[in-house]
Parts: sequence; C-alpha cells; structure tokens
Amino acid sequence: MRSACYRIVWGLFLVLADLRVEFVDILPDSLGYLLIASGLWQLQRLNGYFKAGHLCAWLLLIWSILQLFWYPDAEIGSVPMHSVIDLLPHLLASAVHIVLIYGICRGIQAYTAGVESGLDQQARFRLHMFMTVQLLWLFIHPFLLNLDSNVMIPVVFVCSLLVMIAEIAILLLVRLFARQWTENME
Amino acid sequence: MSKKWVYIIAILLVTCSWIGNVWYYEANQLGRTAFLEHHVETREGDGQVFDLYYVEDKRAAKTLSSIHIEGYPNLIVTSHPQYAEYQRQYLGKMTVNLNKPSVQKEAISEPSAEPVLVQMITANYTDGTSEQVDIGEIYIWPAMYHEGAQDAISWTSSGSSSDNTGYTSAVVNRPVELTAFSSKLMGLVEAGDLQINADISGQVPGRSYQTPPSKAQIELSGKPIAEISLPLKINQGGSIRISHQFNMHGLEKSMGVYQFMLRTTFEEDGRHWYEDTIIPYQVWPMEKEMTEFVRKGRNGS
Repeated sequence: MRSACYRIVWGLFLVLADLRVEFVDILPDSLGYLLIASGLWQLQRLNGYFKAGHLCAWLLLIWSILQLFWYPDAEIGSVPMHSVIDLLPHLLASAVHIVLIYGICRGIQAYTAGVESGLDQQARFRLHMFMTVQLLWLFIHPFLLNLDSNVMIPVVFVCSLLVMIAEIAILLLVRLFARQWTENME
Repeated sequence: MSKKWVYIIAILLVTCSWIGNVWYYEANQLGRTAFLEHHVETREGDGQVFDLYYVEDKRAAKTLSSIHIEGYPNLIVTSHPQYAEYQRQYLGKMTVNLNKPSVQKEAISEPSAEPVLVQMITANYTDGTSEQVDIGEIYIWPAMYHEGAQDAISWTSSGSSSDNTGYTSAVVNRPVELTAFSSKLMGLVEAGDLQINADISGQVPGRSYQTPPSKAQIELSGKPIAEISLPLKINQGGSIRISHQFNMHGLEKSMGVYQFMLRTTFEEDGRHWYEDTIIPYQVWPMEKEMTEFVRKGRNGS
C-alpha cells in the first residue's frame, strides 16, 4: 500500500510538472496518470472514493494520450481557444481531474477518520482549498476568450500559481498518508 | 449555509461563466472574410501601390490567400494577413502593385482620359475556393507622360502624422499657371470628411529630406482648395504647399479605406499637364470599432 501511495505522489508530480526539451514534454502527463491509476488500483479496495479516483485516472490517461494526436501543437495543460468544440474536451478533462483529486482526498479522509494524527482533517482542508482554487480557475478561464490578454495575463498568472500550490498540497497529503501507513498501519 | 450549497452555487457560477463567455465569443465571430469599404484613387505605372484591407476571424479555417483584379494579370500582391491583431479578429492588408509599365515618352495621352473603376475583385481562399467580392471603388488612372511637366515643379518634402494630417510641398522652377484641382473622390472634400488646403507662394518649403517634419509643419495651413480662385499664375521660385486633414467620424467612415489622389493641373505655353498628390488615410480601428464592424458584418452576411 505504501508503494501504491508513492506511485500516486510521483504520478501527481509528473502531471503537475512540465519539463520541455525543444517543445517535447519529457515528463508526459500520460505517464503520470498511469502511475496514479496503478496506485489507485491497489487502494480502490479500501473504499469507494479511491475506486472513483481510479476510474478517473484511467479516463485521464486515455485523454492525455489522445491529446498528443488531437492537439500535437497545443501546450499540454493549456486550452487552445479556437472553438467550443476544442474547448469542451478540455473542460471535461478538468472536471474529471477535479473528481480524481476529490476521490483521493475523500478516500484518505474516510480511511483515516478518527486517527490521532488528524490526517482526515488535513485531507478535508486541502480538498476544500483545492476545490476553491479549481472553481475560481474554471470561473476565470473562459474570460480568456473575450477579455484583452494584457488584462488577463496577471490574473492567469496568479490563478496558475494558486492552482500549483493547491496541487502541491494534495501531493504532500498523499505523501503524508504513505508515511502514516508505514508508521501505523503496516 | 452548508458547504454543499456553497459548492452548488460555485458550480452554477462556473457554468454561467462558461456559457456566457462562449456565447459572447460566438456572437462576435464574423464567420467569413470581409473587406473594408475602399475609396481609392491611384494610377498605373511609376511603381504606384495601394492597400486593400480585410477582416478575418482568428480561428477561421478558410482564409484569404490571394486576390485577382480583372484586366491586371501581372499584379504583384504583398500579403500582411495579421497586419493588426484584435481580440477575436485580424485586420489583414494586401499591398497591390498593378505592375503596368510606365508609358513611354512617345505615347502622350490627354489628361481628360477617364480612369478604370474597379468595384469587384476575385478573392482566392486557402481551401481552393474563390469568389467575387465588393471592395468599394478603386479608380485607376492610366499612366501618362506629359512633356511639359519636365522640371517645372520640384517636390521638396512631405510628412504625415498618425492623426491623419499631412502635407506635401514643392517649388516652382519656371513660371506656370495652376488651372485646376480635381479628384474622383472630391465628394469627400465637399462632405467635410477631408480638408485640403493649399498655400501657394507662401512659405518657402525646405529641401531637406533628412529630418522628420515637426508637428507645426504638418498642420493644416493656407486656404481650402475650393476657395482658391483659379487660374492662378505662379512665378519662378514660388512655392506650393498642400496640407490635408481627415475628419472621419462614425463607424462607417472610420472603418473605410481612403486614398485620395489630388490632381493639380498646370498650363504652360498652352500645354496642360498635371501633378498627382497621394493623400492616404491610415485605417487603424479601435477594438470597439472592430467589434461593431463584426456585429454589423454578421447581420449583413
């Protein structure tokens, strides 16, 4: 179980980080989602939240592979603002990613409920933080279509920073869960 | 209020944000290539060029690739598809050189020859399709050579400003008689959209091409050309300064493309000849004007 948690940590890291060498992401999202899916495959036995997260990880894995063929020129993680047909799959992928994180956090919260360490409380808090930031980002994102880029650049920068902080907070939460597993549960 | 309701409201807000923005974005798509309305006067030969402006959506799958003007098979077009960028559209520009050779010295035409009027051009698109499009009016005067013109007038300097004012000045090398100011687009002057003043034998224009003209040099001065009593004799050493100012207010005028060619006719020893002064209007719409143009273009399509 501990190794499953660390696979999720590494998976979240790969999804979050984009390291490009001549426009090629050498840390592809698909590899990240594969690691998350493999980690959650083991954890899904623990509760239904992990099971939901596991399903989302597979969906996102398929999406990240398809994205390489559908939008070879698009930056991974960005939304090419061409048409509604282009936007909808990205919006759906963001929604599935939110459900994935919801599954992980609620899974940890449910599994560690009542444990002295207070990990369930931390999971709850970080989930709220993640959801708030994600919803704020999703609210602001479509304004890119209509507002002047000079106005939007600082807003997008601040939002991206907040999203990154929230994602790192989730990543550290899973790491804490893995450590606690090592110390108390095995 | 429970957290569940906070999330429900937040999700509703996100949904409204997406629906509203996508709707607004779609409502401001032109959906085609639209040429601005041109009122251009030019002439063949001498490397004369004029610009054709058009608007296209940024996301357009089919864009303008080239144009063809009937009767000008050798025209040279320089394309600037992203001449100016707007939130959802590009303003494109095609600089057209008709590429007709200048008339040889032997071929002398009368100044009264009429120009060719071009109102439709063939637009060729990237998907291989083409169509006839209305571009307004382009008057193309034939190239002419007039023996009398040789060295009588020397154009010395010109300048223009971003507020669509400008001037051209010349010195007179031998006595001539100015007999007329004319243009096919004189309606612009009569409507007050363009003010053209002439200062004849007033200040002696500078001969320097090195330094850019000052604001004061560019400003409108002299008398409106309609108020100058013609014919007017100009002695050797006299000067002519033609200054202009466009007053384009309202969407239709500010989104129009204008190139006025003021034809100044001279008489010397019973021979008529003329000099042409090109007065262009720099089209540079604001974001708001472009949005309005697109909305009107959608309704008109």
